[in-house]
Amino acid sequence: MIYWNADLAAKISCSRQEMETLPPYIDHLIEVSKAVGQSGIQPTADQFSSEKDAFFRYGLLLVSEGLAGEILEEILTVLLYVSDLKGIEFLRQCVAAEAILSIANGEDQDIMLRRLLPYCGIDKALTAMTKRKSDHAD
Amino acid sequence: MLIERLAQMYVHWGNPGQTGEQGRRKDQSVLALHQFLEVIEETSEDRKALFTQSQQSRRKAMKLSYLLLASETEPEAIFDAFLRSGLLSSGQRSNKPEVLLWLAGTEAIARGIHPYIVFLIMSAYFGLEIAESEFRWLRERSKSSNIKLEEFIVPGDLTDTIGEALKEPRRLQRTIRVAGMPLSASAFAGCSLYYIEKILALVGPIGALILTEMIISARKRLVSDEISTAQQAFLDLFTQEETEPKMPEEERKTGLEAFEEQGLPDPDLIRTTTNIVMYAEAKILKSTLSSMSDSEIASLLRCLEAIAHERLLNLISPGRQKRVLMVIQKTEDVVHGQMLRDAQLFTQKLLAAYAPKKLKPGVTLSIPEELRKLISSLLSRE
Repeated sequence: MIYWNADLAAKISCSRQEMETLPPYIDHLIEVSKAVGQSGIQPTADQFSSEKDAFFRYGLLLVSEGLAGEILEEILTVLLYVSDLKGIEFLRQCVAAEAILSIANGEDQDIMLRRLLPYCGIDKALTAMTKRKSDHAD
Repeated sequence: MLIERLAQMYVHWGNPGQTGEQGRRKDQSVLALHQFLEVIEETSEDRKALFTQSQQSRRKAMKLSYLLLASETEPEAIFDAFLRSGLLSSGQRSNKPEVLLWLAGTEAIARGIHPYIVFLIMSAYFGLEIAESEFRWLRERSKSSNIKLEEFIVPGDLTDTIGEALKEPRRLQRTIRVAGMPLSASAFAGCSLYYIEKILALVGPIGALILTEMIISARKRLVSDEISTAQQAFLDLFTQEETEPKMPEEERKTGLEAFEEQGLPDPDLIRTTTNIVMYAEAKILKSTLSSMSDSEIASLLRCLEAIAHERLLNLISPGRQKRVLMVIQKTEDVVHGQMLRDAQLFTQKLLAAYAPKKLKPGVTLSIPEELRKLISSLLSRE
Protein backbone atom coordinates (compact mmCIF):
# COMPACT_ATOMS: atom_id res chain seq x y z
CA MET A 1 0.00 0.00 0.00
CA ILE A 2 1.40 3.37 -0.97
CA TYR A 3 0.62 6.26 1.34
CA TRP A 4 -1.21 9.08 -0.30
CA ASN A 5 -0.20 12.68 0.23
CA ALA A 6 -1.62 15.75 -1.45
CA ASP A 7 1.76 17.55 -1.69
CA LEU A 8 3.44 14.57 -3.29
CA ALA A 9 0.50 13.99 -5.62
CA ALA A 10 0.63 17.64 -6.72
CA LYS A 11 4.38 17.48 -7.22
CA ILE A 12 4.25 14.33 -9.33
CA SER A 13 1.17 15.10 -11.44
CA CYS A 14 1.63 15.87 -15.11
CA SER A 15 -0.37 15.96 -18.29
CA ARG A 16 -0.95 13.09 -20.70
CA GLN A 17 1.22 14.82 -23.28
CA GLU A 18 4.06 15.08 -20.81
CA MET A 19 3.65 11.42 -19.90
CA GLU A 20 4.23 10.57 -23.56
CA THR A 21 7.86 11.58 -23.13
CA LEU A 22 8.41 8.94 -20.45
CA PRO A 23 8.73 5.77 -22.59
CA PRO A 24 11.68 7.14 -24.64
CA TYR A 25 13.33 8.18 -21.37
CA ILE A 26 12.86 4.65 -20.02
CA ASP A 27 14.45 3.32 -23.22
CA HIS A 28 17.48 5.48 -22.49
CA LEU A 29 17.72 4.16 -18.92
CA ILE A 30 17.49 0.59 -20.18
CA GLU A 31 20.25 1.28 -22.73
CA VAL A 32 22.57 2.62 -20.02
CA SER A 33 21.73 -0.37 -17.84
CA LYS A 34 22.60 -2.72 -20.71
CA ALA A 35 25.91 -0.93 -21.28
CA VAL A 36 26.77 -1.15 -17.58
CA GLY A 37 25.78 -4.83 -17.59
CA GLN A 38 28.09 -5.53 -20.51
CA SER A 39 31.13 -3.46 -19.63
CA GLY A 40 30.79 -3.26 -15.84
CA ILE A 41 31.49 -0.17 -13.79
CA GLN A 42 34.96 1.30 -14.06
CA PRO A 43 35.21 3.22 -10.80
CA THR A 44 38.42 5.02 -11.64
CA ALA A 45 37.32 6.32 -15.03
CA ASP A 46 34.78 9.09 -15.40
CA GLN A 47 32.52 6.57 -17.07
CA PHE A 48 29.29 8.48 -16.60
CA SER A 49 30.49 12.00 -17.37
CA SER A 50 28.65 11.99 -20.69
CA GLU A 51 25.32 11.26 -18.97
CA LYS A 52 23.34 14.48 -19.23
CA ASP A 53 20.71 13.59 -16.66
CA ALA A 54 22.24 14.89 -13.43
CA PHE A 55 20.09 12.78 -11.11
CA PHE A 56 20.79 9.55 -12.98
CA ARG A 57 24.50 10.40 -13.21
CA TYR A 58 24.80 10.98 -9.48
CA GLY A 59 22.97 7.73 -8.76
CA LEU A 60 25.38 5.83 -10.99
CA LEU A 61 28.31 7.43 -9.16
CA LEU A 62 26.90 6.12 -5.88
CA VAL A 63 26.56 2.65 -7.40
CA SER A 64 30.15 2.81 -8.60
CA GLU A 65 31.20 3.22 -4.95
CA GLY A 66 29.52 -0.08 -4.10
CA LEU A 67 26.28 1.31 -2.69
CA ALA A 68 23.02 -0.58 -3.14
CA GLY A 69 19.94 -1.69 -1.22
CA GLU A 70 18.57 0.20 1.75
CA ILE A 71 21.29 2.84 1.97
CA LEU A 72 21.13 3.73 -1.71
CA GLU A 73 17.34 3.84 -1.51
CA GLU A 74 17.52 6.16 1.48
CA ILE A 75 19.84 8.60 -0.31
CA LEU A 76 17.73 8.61 -3.48
CA THR A 77 14.53 9.09 -1.50
CA VAL A 78 15.98 12.09 0.32
CA LEU A 79 17.10 13.60 -2.99
CA LEU A 80 13.57 13.19 -4.34
CA TYR A 81 12.04 14.59 -1.15
CA VAL A 82 14.04 17.82 -1.34
CA SER A 83 13.90 18.06 -5.14
CA ASP A 84 12.68 21.44 -6.36
CA LEU A 85 11.39 19.96 -9.61
CA LYS A 86 7.72 19.34 -10.31
CA GLY A 87 5.57 17.52 -12.84
CA ILE A 88 7.21 15.48 -15.55
CA GLU A 89 10.74 16.54 -14.52
CA PHE A 90 10.12 15.19 -11.03
CA LEU A 91 8.47 12.05 -12.38
CA ARG A 92 11.57 11.44 -14.48
CA GLN A 93 13.70 11.70 -11.36
CA CYS A 94 11.50 9.07 -9.68
CA VAL A 95 11.91 6.76 -12.68
CA ALA A 96 15.67 7.38 -12.73
CA ALA A 97 15.87 6.52 -9.02
CA GLU A 98 14.14 3.18 -9.65
CA ALA A 99 16.52 2.50 -12.55
CA ILE A 100 19.54 3.24 -10.35
CA LEU A 101 18.33 0.78 -7.70
CA SER A 102 17.71 -1.79 -10.40
CA ILE A 103 21.22 -1.35 -11.84
CA ALA A 104 22.76 -1.56 -8.35
CA ASN A 105 20.99 -4.86 -7.75
CA GLY A 106 22.07 -6.17 -11.15
CA GLU A 107 18.48 -6.84 -12.17
CA ASP A 108 17.78 -8.01 -15.69
CA GLN A 109 15.97 -5.94 -18.28
CA ASP A 110 12.55 -7.50 -17.69
CA ILE A 111 12.56 -6.83 -13.96
CA MET A 112 13.81 -3.31 -14.56
CA LEU A 113 10.97 -2.70 -17.00
CA ARG A 114 8.45 -3.92 -14.46
CA ARG A 115 9.81 -1.38 -12.03
CA LEU A 116 9.79 1.51 -14.47
CA LEU A 117 6.77 1.03 -16.73
CA PRO A 118 4.09 1.54 -14.04
CA TYR A 119 5.27 5.17 -13.86
CA CYS A 120 3.83 5.59 -17.37
CA GLY A 121 0.36 4.67 -16.07
CA ILE A 122 -1.17 1.24 -15.92
CA ASP A 123 -2.50 1.30 -19.50
CA LYS A 124 0.85 2.13 -21.03
CA ALA A 125 2.57 -0.43 -18.81
CA LEU A 126 0.25 -3.21 -19.89
CA THR A 127 0.45 -2.25 -23.55
CA ALA A 128 4.23 -2.17 -23.43
CA MET A 129 4.46 -5.50 -21.65
CA THR A 130 1.97 -7.15 -23.97
CA LYS A 131 3.93 -5.79 -26.94
CA ARG A 132 7.12 -7.23 -25.50
CA LYS A 133 5.35 -10.57 -25.12
CA SER A 134 4.31 -10.59 -28.76
CA ASP A 135 7.83 -9.52 -29.77
CA HIS A 136 9.21 -12.51 -27.85
CA ALA A 137 6.71 -14.77 -29.58
CA ASP A 138 7.83 -13.49 -32.98
CA MET B 1 9.90 0.30 -2.50
CA LEU B 2 11.22 3.74 -3.27
CA ILE B 3 7.98 5.55 -4.04
CA GLU B 4 6.43 4.15 -0.87
CA ARG B 5 9.36 5.40 1.17
CA LEU B 6 9.04 8.81 -0.45
CA ALA B 7 5.31 8.90 0.27
CA GLN B 8 6.03 7.99 3.90
CA MET B 9 8.41 10.93 4.17
CA TYR B 10 5.71 13.24 2.89
CA VAL B 11 3.14 11.76 5.27
CA HIS B 12 5.53 12.08 8.24
CA TRP B 13 7.10 15.43 7.49
CA GLY B 14 4.83 17.12 5.00
CA ASN B 15 6.12 19.30 2.22
CA PRO B 16 9.85 19.98 2.67
CA GLY B 17 9.28 23.58 1.64
CA GLN B 18 12.31 25.37 0.36
CA THR B 19 15.62 23.78 1.13
CA GLY B 20 15.75 26.95 3.13
CA GLU B 21 19.11 28.45 3.38
CA GLN B 22 20.83 30.28 0.62
CA GLY B 23 24.33 31.51 -0.02
CA ARG B 24 26.51 32.05 3.00
CA ARG B 25 24.21 30.30 5.45
CA LYS B 26 24.08 27.24 3.23
CA ASP B 27 27.87 27.22 3.01
CA GLN B 28 27.96 27.26 6.80
CA SER B 29 25.59 24.32 6.95
CA VAL B 30 27.81 22.36 4.58
CA LEU B 31 30.86 23.28 6.69
CA ALA B 32 28.99 22.07 9.78
CA LEU B 33 28.51 18.76 8.01
CA HIS B 34 32.24 18.53 7.24
CA GLN B 35 32.95 19.28 10.86
CA PHE B 36 30.51 16.56 11.96
CA LEU B 37 32.33 14.02 9.80
CA GLU B 38 35.69 15.01 11.28
CA VAL B 39 34.41 14.96 14.86
CA ILE B 40 32.81 11.53 14.44
CA GLU B 41 36.01 10.17 12.88
CA GLU B 42 38.27 11.67 15.52
CA THR B 43 36.22 11.12 18.65
CA SER B 44 34.84 7.72 17.74
CA GLU B 45 33.52 6.56 21.12
CA ASP B 46 35.00 9.38 23.18
CA ARG B 47 31.83 10.59 24.90
CA LYS B 48 33.51 13.49 26.65
CA ALA B 49 34.71 14.95 23.36
CA LEU B 50 31.20 14.66 21.95
CA PHE B 51 29.78 16.49 24.97
CA THR B 52 32.31 19.25 24.39
CA GLN B 53 31.25 19.47 20.76
CA SER B 54 27.63 19.69 21.86
CA GLN B 55 28.41 22.64 24.13
CA GLN B 56 30.35 24.42 21.42
CA SER B 57 27.73 23.98 18.70
CA ARG B 58 25.53 26.95 17.90
CA ARG B 59 22.91 25.24 15.80
CA LYS B 60 20.22 23.61 17.90
CA ALA B 61 19.85 20.50 15.76
CA MET B 62 23.60 19.95 15.65
CA LYS B 63 23.86 20.47 19.40
CA LEU B 64 21.14 17.91 20.01
CA SER B 65 22.77 15.49 17.61
CA TYR B 66 26.13 15.55 19.45
CA LEU B 67 24.37 15.35 22.79
CA LEU B 68 22.39 12.26 21.79
CA LEU B 69 25.48 10.55 20.44
CA ALA B 70 27.48 11.47 23.54
CA SER B 71 24.82 9.92 25.73
CA GLU B 72 24.79 6.78 23.57
CA THR B 73 21.07 7.08 22.89
CA GLU B 74 19.44 4.08 21.26
CA PRO B 75 18.68 4.67 17.54
CA GLU B 76 14.94 4.18 18.14
CA ALA B 77 14.91 6.88 20.84
CA ILE B 78 16.65 9.48 18.65
CA PHE B 79 13.55 10.03 16.54
CA ASP B 80 11.49 10.72 19.69
CA ALA B 81 14.16 13.02 21.07
CA PHE B 82 14.08 15.15 17.92
CA LEU B 83 10.28 15.21 17.97
CA ARG B 84 10.19 16.24 21.63
CA SER B 85 12.82 18.91 21.07
CA GLY B 86 10.24 20.97 19.15
CA LEU B 87 12.69 21.53 16.30
CA LEU B 88 10.29 19.80 13.94
CA SER B 89 7.15 21.44 15.23
CA SER B 90 5.15 23.56 12.81
CA GLY B 91 6.35 26.85 14.24
CA GLN B 92 9.97 26.06 13.47
CA ARG B 93 9.69 24.29 10.16
CA SER B 94 11.47 26.88 8.05
CA ASN B 95 14.62 24.78 8.20
CA LYS B 96 12.92 21.42 8.09
CA PRO B 97 15.38 19.73 5.71
CA GLU B 98 18.26 20.87 7.90
CA VAL B 99 16.70 19.42 11.05
CA LEU B 100 15.84 16.20 9.19
CA LEU B 101 19.45 16.09 8.00
CA TRP B 102 20.70 16.01 11.59
CA LEU B 103 18.04 13.53 12.64
CA ALA B 104 18.96 11.18 9.79
CA GLY B 105 22.69 11.56 10.47
CA THR B 106 22.37 10.96 14.20
CA GLU B 107 20.19 7.91 13.70
CA ALA B 108 22.55 6.48 11.11
CA ILE B 109 25.65 6.96 13.30
CA ALA B 110 23.80 5.38 16.24
CA ARG B 111 22.94 2.42 14.00
CA GLY B 112 26.65 1.95 13.36
CA ILE B 113 26.64 3.03 9.73
CA HIS B 114 30.03 4.14 8.42
CA PRO B 115 30.54 7.93 8.77
CA TYR B 116 31.24 8.34 5.04
CA ILE B 117 27.89 6.76 4.16
CA VAL B 118 26.22 8.90 6.81
CA PHE B 119 27.83 11.93 5.20
CA LEU B 120 26.34 10.95 1.83
CA ILE B 121 22.89 10.52 3.39
CA MET B 122 23.11 13.88 5.15
CA SER B 123 24.42 15.79 2.15
CA ALA B 124 21.45 14.54 0.11
CA TYR B 125 19.24 16.87 2.19
CA PHE B 126 20.97 19.85 0.54
CA GLY B 127 19.64 18.78 -2.85
CA LEU B 128 21.21 17.18 -5.90
CA GLU B 129 23.73 19.85 -6.83
CA ILE B 130 25.36 20.10 -3.41
CA ALA B 131 25.09 16.34 -2.86
CA GLU B 132 27.14 15.71 -6.00
CA SER B 133 29.74 18.36 -5.17
CA GLU B 134 30.05 16.92 -1.64
CA PHE B 135 30.37 13.45 -3.11
CA ARG B 136 33.33 14.66 -5.19
CA TRP B 137 34.84 16.33 -2.13
CA LEU B 138 34.54 13.07 -0.19
CA ARG B 139 36.04 11.17 -3.10
CA GLU B 140 39.16 13.37 -3.06
CA ARG B 141 39.35 13.07 0.72
CA SER B 142 39.18 9.28 0.43
CA LYS B 143 41.96 9.23 -2.15
CA SER B 144 44.29 11.08 0.19
CA SER B 145 43.68 8.71 3.11
CA ASN B 146 46.75 7.01 4.56
CA ILE B 147 44.99 3.99 6.00
CA LYS B 148 46.92 0.85 5.13
CA LEU B 149 46.09 -2.81 5.55
CA GLU B 150 48.50 -5.41 6.77
CA GLU B 151 48.87 -9.02 5.72
CA PHE B 152 46.43 -11.31 7.52
CA ILE B 153 45.34 -14.58 5.96
CA VAL B 154 42.69 -16.91 7.27
CA PRO B 155 42.43 -20.26 5.48
CA GLY B 156 39.06 -20.55 3.82
CA ASP B 157 37.28 -21.17 0.55
CA LEU B 158 37.22 -17.51 -0.45
CA THR B 159 40.98 -17.18 -0.16
CA ASP B 160 41.33 -20.14 -2.50
CA THR B 161 38.73 -19.04 -5.04
CA ILE B 162 39.07 -15.25 -5.07
CA GLY B 163 41.64 -15.45 -7.87
CA GLU B 164 39.06 -17.19 -10.06
CA ALA B 165 36.31 -14.77 -8.97
CA LEU B 166 38.45 -11.80 -9.97
CA LYS B 167 38.33 -13.03 -13.54
CA GLU B 168 34.67 -11.97 -13.49
CA PRO B 169 34.89 -8.44 -12.09
CA ARG B 170 31.33 -7.46 -13.04
CA ARG B 171 29.90 -10.39 -11.07
CA LEU B 172 32.19 -9.69 -8.14
CA GLN B 173 31.16 -6.00 -8.18
CA ARG B 174 27.52 -7.01 -8.06
CA THR B 175 28.09 -9.52 -5.28
CA ILE B 176 29.82 -6.83 -3.18
CA ARG B 177 26.82 -4.52 -3.66
CA VAL B 178 24.24 -7.21 -2.96
CA ALA B 179 26.12 -8.60 0.06
CA GLY B 180 26.62 -5.11 1.44
CA MET B 181 29.84 -3.58 2.75
CA PRO B 182 29.82 -5.15 6.26
CA LEU B 183 29.51 -8.74 5.03
CA SER B 184 31.90 -8.18 2.14
CA ALA B 185 34.49 -6.64 4.45
CA SER B 186 34.17 -9.50 6.96
CA ALA B 187 34.69 -11.97 4.13
CA PHE B 188 37.67 -10.11 2.65
CA ALA B 189 39.24 -9.73 6.10
CA GLY B 190 40.80 -13.17 5.69
CA CYS B 191 42.18 -12.61 2.18
CA SER B 192 45.76 -11.81 1.27
CA LEU B 193 46.72 -8.19 0.72
CA TYR B 194 47.41 -8.95 -2.93
CA TYR B 195 43.81 -9.97 -3.55
CA ILE B 196 42.30 -7.29 -1.32
CA GLU B 197 44.00 -4.61 -3.39
CA LYS B 198 42.49 -6.09 -6.54
CA ILE B 199 39.05 -6.24 -4.90
CA LEU B 200 39.27 -2.64 -3.70
CA ALA B 201 39.98 -1.52 -7.26
CA LEU B 202 36.49 -2.74 -8.21
CA VAL B 203 34.81 0.08 -6.29
CA GLY B 204 35.46 3.82 -6.25
CA PRO B 205 37.73 5.55 -3.71
CA ILE B 206 34.94 6.14 -1.18
CA GLY B 207 33.79 2.52 -1.29
CA ALA B 208 37.40 1.32 -1.15
CA LEU B 209 38.15 3.36 1.95
CA ILE B 210 34.96 2.21 3.68
CA LEU B 211 35.80 -1.42 2.86
CA THR B 212 39.38 -0.96 4.09
CA GLU B 213 38.25 0.46 7.42
CA MET B 214 35.63 -2.24 7.79
CA ILE B 215 38.22 -4.93 7.02
CA ILE B 216 40.50 -3.50 9.74
CA SER B 217 37.58 -3.44 12.16
CA ALA B 218 36.51 -7.00 11.23
CA ARG B 219 40.03 -8.28 11.87
CA LYS B 220 39.88 -6.80 15.38
CA ARG B 221 36.38 -8.01 16.21
CA LEU B 222 36.04 -11.39 14.52
CA VAL B 223 37.72 -14.71 15.20
CA SER B 224 38.85 -16.83 12.28
CA ASP B 225 35.73 -19.04 12.42
CA GLU B 226 33.51 -15.99 12.05
CA ILE B 227 35.57 -14.75 9.12
CA SER B 228 35.26 -18.18 7.52
CA THR B 229 31.48 -18.07 7.99
CA ALA B 230 31.36 -14.62 6.34
CA GLN B 231 33.49 -15.96 3.50
CA GLN B 232 31.12 -18.86 2.98
CA ALA B 233 28.11 -16.52 2.95
CA PHE B 234 29.83 -14.26 0.41
CA LEU B 235 30.77 -17.23 -1.75
CA ASP B 236 27.21 -18.53 -1.61
CA LEU B 237 26.00 -15.19 -2.93
CA PHE B 238 28.65 -15.19 -5.62
CA THR B 239 27.88 -18.72 -6.82
CA GLN B 240 24.12 -18.23 -6.41
CA GLU B 241 24.32 -15.54 -9.00
CA GLU B 242 26.12 -17.88 -11.36
CA THR B 243 23.57 -20.66 -10.95
CA GLU B 244 20.45 -18.47 -10.93
CA PRO B 245 18.20 -20.11 -13.50
CA LYS B 246 17.44 -17.95 -16.48
CA MET B 247 13.90 -18.44 -17.67
CA PRO B 248 13.60 -19.40 -21.30
CA GLU B 249 12.06 -16.60 -23.33
CA GLU B 250 8.88 -18.55 -24.07
CA GLU B 251 8.28 -19.11 -20.36
CA ARG B 252 8.52 -15.48 -19.43
CA LYS B 253 5.16 -14.11 -18.53
CA THR B 254 4.33 -10.60 -19.47
CA GLY B 255 1.30 -8.35 -19.58
CA LEU B 256 -1.81 -9.29 -17.65
CA GLU B 257 -0.57 -12.85 -17.11
CA ALA B 258 2.36 -11.57 -15.10
CA PHE B 259 0.10 -9.61 -12.76
CA GLU B 260 -2.23 -12.57 -12.29
CA GLU B 261 0.58 -15.06 -11.79
CA GLN B 262 1.99 -13.19 -8.81
CA GLY B 263 -1.39 -12.36 -7.27
CA LEU B 264 -0.58 -8.75 -8.06
CA PRO B 265 -3.38 -6.21 -8.19
CA ASP B 266 -5.42 -6.44 -11.35
CA PRO B 267 -5.15 -3.00 -13.00
CA ASP B 268 -8.57 -3.35 -14.58
CA LEU B 269 -10.16 -3.99 -11.19
CA ILE B 270 -8.41 -0.94 -9.77
CA ARG B 271 -9.49 1.22 -12.69
CA THR B 272 -13.13 0.09 -12.46
CA THR B 273 -13.33 0.58 -8.67
CA THR B 274 -11.67 3.98 -9.00
CA ASN B 275 -14.19 5.05 -11.63
CA ILE B 276 -17.07 3.94 -9.41
CA VAL B 277 -15.75 6.11 -6.57
CA MET B 278 -15.24 9.04 -8.93
CA TYR B 279 -18.69 8.79 -10.56
CA ALA B 280 -20.72 8.16 -7.40
CA GLU B 281 -22.51 11.12 -5.82
CA ALA B 282 -20.71 12.57 -2.82
CA LYS B 283 -23.78 12.29 -0.60
CA ILE B 284 -24.29 8.61 -1.45
CA LEU B 285 -20.59 7.88 -1.10
CA LYS B 286 -20.54 9.52 2.32
CA SER B 287 -23.51 7.45 3.41
CA THR B 288 -21.80 4.29 2.11
CA LEU B 289 -18.62 5.05 4.01
CA SER B 290 -20.55 5.63 7.21
CA SER B 291 -21.86 2.06 6.90
CA MET B 292 -18.34 0.65 6.54
CA SER B 293 -15.83 -0.17 9.27
CA ASP B 294 -12.34 1.37 9.35
CA SER B 295 -10.80 -1.87 8.14
CA GLU B 296 -13.30 -2.12 5.27
CA ILE B 297 -12.38 1.42 4.16
CA ALA B 298 -8.70 0.54 4.48
CA SER B 299 -9.27 -2.52 2.29
CA LEU B 300 -11.17 -0.42 -0.23
CA LEU B 301 -8.30 2.08 -0.47
CA ARG B 302 -6.08 -0.75 -1.64
CA CYS B 303 -8.35 -1.21 -4.64
CA LEU B 304 -8.15 2.42 -5.73
CA GLU B 305 -5.85 4.74 -7.62
CA ALA B 306 -4.50 7.74 -5.73
CA ILE B 307 -7.02 10.15 -7.27
CA ALA B 308 -9.88 8.22 -5.68
CA HIS B 309 -8.07 8.10 -2.31
CA GLU B 310 -8.32 11.86 -2.17
CA ARG B 311 -12.06 11.89 -2.84
CA LEU B 312 -12.74 9.13 -0.40
CA LEU B 313 -10.62 10.48 2.44
CA ASN B 314 -12.14 13.92 2.04
CA LEU B 315 -15.52 12.43 2.87
CA ILE B 316 -14.49 11.12 6.28
CA SER B 317 -13.43 12.98 9.40
CA PRO B 318 -9.72 13.63 10.11
CA GLY B 319 -9.91 11.34 13.14
CA ARG B 320 -11.28 8.51 11.03
CA GLN B 321 -8.66 9.20 8.35
CA LYS B 322 -5.96 8.58 10.95
CA ARG B 323 -7.59 5.37 12.15
CA VAL B 324 -7.89 4.09 8.58
CA LEU B 325 -4.25 4.90 7.85
CA MET B 326 -3.25 3.05 11.02
CA VAL B 327 -5.18 -0.01 9.86
CA ILE B 328 -3.40 0.19 6.50
CA GLN B 329 -0.02 0.32 8.21
CA LYS B 330 -0.79 -2.80 10.22
CA THR B 331 -2.16 -4.93 7.40
CA GLU B 332 -0.10 -6.96 5.00
CA ASP B 333 -0.32 -6.91 1.23
CA VAL B 334 -3.43 -8.55 -0.16
CA VAL B 335 -3.74 -10.70 -3.23
CA HIS B 336 -5.99 -10.17 -6.21
CA GLY B 337 -8.84 -12.41 -4.97
CA GLN B 338 -9.15 -10.54 -1.69
CA MET B 339 -9.11 -7.18 -3.46
CA LEU B 340 -11.96 -8.27 -5.70
CA ARG B 341 -14.02 -9.31 -2.68
CA ASP B 342 -13.31 -5.99 -0.93
CA ALA B 343 -14.27 -3.99 -4.03
CA GLN B 344 -17.47 -6.01 -4.47
CA LEU B 345 -18.45 -5.56 -0.82
CA PHE B 346 -18.06 -1.80 -1.22
CA THR B 347 -20.12 -1.83 -4.42
CA GLN B 348 -22.92 -3.72 -2.71
CA LYS B 349 -22.97 -1.18 0.11
CA LEU B 350 -22.97 1.63 -2.44
CA LEU B 351 -25.97 0.07 -4.16
CA ALA B 352 -27.72 -0.20 -0.81
CA ALA B 353 -27.06 3.49 -0.21
CA TYR B 354 -28.65 4.35 -3.58
CA ALA B 355 -31.74 2.38 -2.68
CA PRO B 356 -34.46 4.35 -0.88
CA LYS B 357 -35.48 2.93 2.49
CA LYS B 358 -38.82 1.80 1.10
CA LEU B 359 -38.10 0.63 -2.41
CA LYS B 360 -41.30 -0.17 -4.24
CA PRO B 361 -41.36 -3.24 -6.47
CA GLY B 362 -40.67 -2.48 -10.11
CA VAL B 363 -38.99 0.87 -9.40
CA THR B 364 -35.43 1.13 -10.64
CA LEU B 365 -32.68 2.80 -8.65
CA SER B 366 -31.73 6.28 -9.80
CA ILE B 367 -28.15 5.46 -10.65
CA PRO B 368 -26.43 7.23 -13.58
CA GLU B 369 -26.03 4.95 -16.59
CA GLU B 370 -22.23 5.04 -16.64
CA LEU B 371 -22.05 4.15 -12.96
CA ARG B 372 -24.61 1.39 -13.40
CA LYS B 373 -22.46 -0.25 -16.09
CA LEU B 374 -19.35 -0.07 -13.90
CA ILE B 375 -21.16 -1.58 -10.92
CA SER B 376 -22.55 -4.42 -13.07
CA SER B 377 -19.13 -5.07 -14.51
CA LEU B 378 -17.53 -5.25 -11.05
CA LEU B 379 -20.21 -7.40 -9.45
CA SER B 380 -20.16 -9.88 -12.33
CA ARG B 381 -16.42 -10.49 -11.92
CA GLU B 382 -15.22 -13.80 -10.52
